[in-house]
Amino acid sequence: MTDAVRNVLAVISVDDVLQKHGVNNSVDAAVMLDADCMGTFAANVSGYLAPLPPASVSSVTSAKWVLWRATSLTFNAKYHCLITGVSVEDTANCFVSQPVMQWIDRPTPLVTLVETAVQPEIRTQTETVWAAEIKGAGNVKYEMSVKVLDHHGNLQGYYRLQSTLAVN
Amino acid sequence: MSQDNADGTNIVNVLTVADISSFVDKLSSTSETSPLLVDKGIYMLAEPQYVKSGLASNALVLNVTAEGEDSSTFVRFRELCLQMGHYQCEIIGITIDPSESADVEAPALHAVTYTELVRDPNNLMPDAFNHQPNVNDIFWEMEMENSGVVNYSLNFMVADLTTATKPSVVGYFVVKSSLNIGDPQD
Repeated sequence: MTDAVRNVLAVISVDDVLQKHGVNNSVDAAVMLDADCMGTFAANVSGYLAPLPPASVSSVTSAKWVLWRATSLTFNAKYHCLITGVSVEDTANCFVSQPVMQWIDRPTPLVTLVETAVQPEIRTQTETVWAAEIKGAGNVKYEMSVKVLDHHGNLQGYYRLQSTLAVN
Repeated sequence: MSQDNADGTNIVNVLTVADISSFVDKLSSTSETSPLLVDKGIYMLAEPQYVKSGLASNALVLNVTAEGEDSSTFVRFRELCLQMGHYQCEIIGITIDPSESADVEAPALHAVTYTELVRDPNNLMPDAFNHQPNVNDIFWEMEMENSGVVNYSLNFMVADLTTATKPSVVGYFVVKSSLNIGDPQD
């Protein structure tokens, strides 16, 4: 169980991206998105993640992490935004290493139907995030590579976005 | 803006991103009928003009094209909490201020199903997905038949996901904002 996490969320308006850039099939020429079709947000959260940190990391307790996620403005019903890489320009030496892909078990609210009654419950669902362990405070610039699929699983393009993050 | 190809109607997607940690300490004294009015830690985003704001009181100005006599604009509201896995926020109601708003249908909760792409936990390849049918896409929607300004309140419930096997209600908050649906000629 980690004691502090900084969640970073990139929200992409995929319809606007496709209207502006069309489908970009080249992973080597991923289109850089500008601020009029995406937004990035960050917030602190504490004490819910398992199995972070991974066994390969020595600081099993009290580690602090930054997690990166990406989503479509319309959520998964229309597009999936899959992060294929996150790189940080870590001149302030904030991270132990560059971000890597991690699997976490996230408590997720689900609504189930018991006979005729709707009942909310919490189950853990496995989620893929990109994560980096924090070793110090500072500001970092990061770049996220995103692959967009439609809800049929068909490729809608490769894109990149850049933003900055204040690490507490 | 999304275009519904089936009937030519316009769909505007509005997403509210909430940083619950910036006001969670004030939620314990709230109730569904007495929510906390929040004007920070709330970010409103919408198509087609992407708007970001730290202040929920800022209006979302949407220049939505409403072509044809019979066309309508459907505004869909969704929500997301930045404290994923710890807190969950849900829109529990949308109230239109009728005295200062254009004529709109009362917003209603909708659920449509879609086939979700779910990662296969036994296959770490990036493109390895299983197809999970009949997943609910839940959103609030209001229909606008004409251009105009809509002043509205979004009422939220916040649940804690870490306390037990069932979500426990932390409190309630409300966000006031407005939409400006303009004519394409303007």
